[in-house]
Amino acid sequence: MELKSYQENKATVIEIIGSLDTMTAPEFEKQVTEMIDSGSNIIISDCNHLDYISSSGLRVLLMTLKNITNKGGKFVLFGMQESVFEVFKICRFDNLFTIVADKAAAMQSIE
Amino acid sequence: MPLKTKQNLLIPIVWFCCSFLLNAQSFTVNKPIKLVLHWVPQAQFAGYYVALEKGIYQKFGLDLRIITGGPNVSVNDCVTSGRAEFGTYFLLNATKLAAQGIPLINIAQLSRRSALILVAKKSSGILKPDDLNDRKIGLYQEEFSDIPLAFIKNNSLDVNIIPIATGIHIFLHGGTDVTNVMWYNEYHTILNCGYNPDELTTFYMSDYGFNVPEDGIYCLRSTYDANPEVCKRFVEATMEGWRYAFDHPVEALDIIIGEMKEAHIPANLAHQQWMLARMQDIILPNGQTEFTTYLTPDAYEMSGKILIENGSVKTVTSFENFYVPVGKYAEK
Amino acid sequence: MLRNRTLRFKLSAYILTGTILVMTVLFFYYYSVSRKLILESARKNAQHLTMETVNSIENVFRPSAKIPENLAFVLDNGIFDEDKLHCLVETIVKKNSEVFGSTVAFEPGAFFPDQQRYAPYYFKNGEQVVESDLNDPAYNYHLQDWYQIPKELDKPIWSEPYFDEGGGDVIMATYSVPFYWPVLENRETEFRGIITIDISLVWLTQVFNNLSIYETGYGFLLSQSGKYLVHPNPDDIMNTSIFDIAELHRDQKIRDLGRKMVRGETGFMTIVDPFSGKEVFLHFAPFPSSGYSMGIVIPVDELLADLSHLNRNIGIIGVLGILALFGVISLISGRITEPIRRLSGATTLIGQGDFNAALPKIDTNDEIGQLMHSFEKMQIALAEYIENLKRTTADKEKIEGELRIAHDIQMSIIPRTFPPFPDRSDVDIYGILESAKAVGGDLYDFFLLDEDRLGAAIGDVSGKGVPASLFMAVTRTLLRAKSMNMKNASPGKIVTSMDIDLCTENDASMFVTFFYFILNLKTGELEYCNAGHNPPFVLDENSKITALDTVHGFPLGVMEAEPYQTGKIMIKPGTRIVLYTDGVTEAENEARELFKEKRLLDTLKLMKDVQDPKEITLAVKSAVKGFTLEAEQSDDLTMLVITYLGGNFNQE
Repeated sequence: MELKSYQENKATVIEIIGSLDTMTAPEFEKQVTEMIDSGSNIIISDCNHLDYISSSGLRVLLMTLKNITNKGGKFVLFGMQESVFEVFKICRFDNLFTIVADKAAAMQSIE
Repeated sequence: MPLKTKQNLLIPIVWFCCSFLLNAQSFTVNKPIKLVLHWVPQAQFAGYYVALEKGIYQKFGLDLRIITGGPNVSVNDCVTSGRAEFGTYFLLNATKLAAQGIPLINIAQLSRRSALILVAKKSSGILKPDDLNDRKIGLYQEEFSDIPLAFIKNNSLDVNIIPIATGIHIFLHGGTDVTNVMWYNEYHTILNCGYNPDELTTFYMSDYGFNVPEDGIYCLRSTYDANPEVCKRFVEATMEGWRYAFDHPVEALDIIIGEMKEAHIPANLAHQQWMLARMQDIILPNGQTEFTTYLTPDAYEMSGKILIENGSVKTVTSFENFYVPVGKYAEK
Repeated sequence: MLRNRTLRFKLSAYILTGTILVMTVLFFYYYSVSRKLILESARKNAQHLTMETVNSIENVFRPSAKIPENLAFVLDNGIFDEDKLHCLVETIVKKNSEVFGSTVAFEPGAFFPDQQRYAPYYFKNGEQVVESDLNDPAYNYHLQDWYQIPKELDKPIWSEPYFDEGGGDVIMATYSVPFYWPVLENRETEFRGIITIDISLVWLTQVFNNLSIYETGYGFLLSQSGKYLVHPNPDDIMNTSIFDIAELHRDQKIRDLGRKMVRGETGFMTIVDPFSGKEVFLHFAPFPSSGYSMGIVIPVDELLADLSHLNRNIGIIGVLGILALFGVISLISGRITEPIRRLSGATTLIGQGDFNAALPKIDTNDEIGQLMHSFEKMQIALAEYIENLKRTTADKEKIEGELRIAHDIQMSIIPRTFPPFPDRSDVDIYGILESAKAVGGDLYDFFLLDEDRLGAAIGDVSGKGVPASLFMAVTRTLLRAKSMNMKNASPGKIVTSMDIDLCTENDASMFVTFFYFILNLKTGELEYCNAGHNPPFVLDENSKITALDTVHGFPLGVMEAEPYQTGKIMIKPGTRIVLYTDGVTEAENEARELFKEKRLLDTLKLMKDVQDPKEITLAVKSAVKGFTLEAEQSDDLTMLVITYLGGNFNQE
């Protein structure tokens, strides 16, 4: 799994490439925790290249959501693939997370 | 006369008879026979020395002694005085002596061709007989000059004759332009003073109608008449000696060199080697293998003609008086 | 061939070969140069020696020649009286030590008109000078070479050497000078006679004998006609000429040499000496005054003897040197490669497991020493690494041991006895739980709440491994506890209660998808609650397959939200309920394809008439295995199939 990040206006954009599973979840957790600790608490996540998510992945996204929410920030996911969205739906995580179609929508939602 | 007188006469008579007999050269085979050679020991006389050394004369029942020749020895004196029974002469010389009344006979003609050469240096410009005109010719002694003089006269040459002693040094130094040499002797001396044959012009007298052979064995007629058997044996033994010498040249040269040293004569192996080889060419010319000791009437006639023409003699004795075929080699 | 030989051999071979090549080249160069130098030097020596000898001898010939020449000048002026003449000749002999004899020999009639021969001759006999003459007719001096040649040539001349009249071994030569008297009638002059001096040439042979020409060299002297006057072989003196030698040995080169010499040329040549058969240097030069010539002969092998000797010594030293070099190279390369060999031996031991194998002690500072140090460091690092590895492996094994125990514990809290209620005929259950790791996060559970009611649940904790299994244990405990406590509560209420507890102190954000139903075995009433779990499949009595796909909320432990709802359906006997986790639908094959719901559905369709829950379960399992094949199991494979038979009461 590869994690790319860049600033866009007041949001930190992270691009999740690959799969978020038991093996890769710790790396995601570490990097994003660092980001949040260093002050970025407005994170929008590009899930266009997120191919797969397991329960470990869900868990670590949930942790991120909790972390950012506790700090008063915003966490938005966009561009999710159909198969991944299915998983979110089963867990009803589609209600929990803010999931939008694209970056523009994401940028808008954080205003 | 009393008996005393008779006795007194008897001894002289007996002595006379004995001496007559002695003078008649009647001897048993064991009496020493002497041969006198007409020069110092050299390969020219190889046959004699070899026959002596190898006991061939002895085999033929002859006790032969050789009297060494040389400048101070006159062969003719030895033979005519009876000091030697046999002697070697040149034909021309013998013809002259016989014509002068000496009862010399030729019992074997060894040399079959003339070995006399007139030699000049090409560098002096002499290439043919005519070039001899006005040139200096060194001629050695009377015996050797008859034929060259006849040659000069025959070719109507006008030459400057310089009498010389033996030796070719005056010629080599250029004191003379032409000199006479024997093929087996002085000619080689000239070569071995550093002249190559192609630097020399040679006039072989045999090529110019003067093919008078040289060496022969002679004795007094009385010697032959008294002992034809001995003469025969002597000639045949001599020829066998020559045969051996030609067949064993190294050994023959050894013998000759030994003789020369004994006579305190400088002995030069190369020169003797040449001389022996040329003697073979002269005694067995044209590749002959069988000896001939026969004197041809033509040779004698030419010899006589030369002498008559140059005025040395008026007439010569007849061929039959001069030559007696002796021994098995004397076939025609 | 060379590739597989030892370093030592290679080093030796290359260095030796190189050295030998270099040495050989050097040797040949030096040899050829030395040889050239020596021969050149010898040539010069020969030349100098020849020139010196010629000069010293000429210094005798020339002054001697002057004597008769001077007398000739005197005599050229006119007639002398007898006494004066005798006096002159006598004086010449007396006063000149080198003159042995002298004569003035006249042409016939030139002195006394009636006398053919007139030649007064004086000669030395010991201390005295004796008067004589050469008038003997037998001698006939006019025909002698010493007289005739200068006469015919009109110039003075040295004679060929000859042995003296006394018969001794004294070689003599005569210098003859012609003299001329003027003809009174005109200005011309006429040849009158020859003046001679005889000198002994013994001193000449002595000069030659005193020549020091190396050890085996010699000088020789030729007369004008090439006859040897001085020669190492006494037999040839005054007897043989150089041309005779050439003829006897059939050597054209020698004949040509002789010709050059008698013609007064100077030169140098290399030739084979017929007397010794060896190659020699020969330098020749003429004596201008006498026409004699000389040669100096130096055997080449003597010249080169020293060089040969030197060569031989160098050869020996060279060979010894090479041997020594070979030894040294062998030794050094052995020394250099020894540590490498020992190192190789030690590393082999290390490779076999003896990490403490002693490395050879090297204390040089060269490349080998550095290699050794690096090896030592490597050995230490290796030993530490291995130690760490051992410890880690030991720890790991400990953990794995503990995990196995944990696995056993986990398995024991999941009902595994089938059939679970053998004396009930109204329900049959079969379930499997195959964890991907030693311990996993999936769970199922079922139990009789009371006589008529069956509770059954299936869940999937987020994550895997020990954390998930712990959470799973907690969840299962909560389920049982709540179910027992809230005996008549609906599944929704129970699940809500479970969620509240799970949300508390859940720092790790773990959650569990959960599905719980209560089935009234008498009535067939099924109440269920789905907390974010895969909707189970229901195969009804008519083999129709539907999914209970209502989801009532988040997985448990996510956050406290609204209470969970309960769903309700009625089922008839013959209905089968298939609970599963995503370990079934997300089972991967090697091509990373997922099993997916469709394949599950297809398998269930095949089983639609099958009542036996075991058969159904195993069919699905088999289908999954048949799909994943060799691929590693990525998630827990969990299924629970409940067949409602209904109506049959247990017979007592």
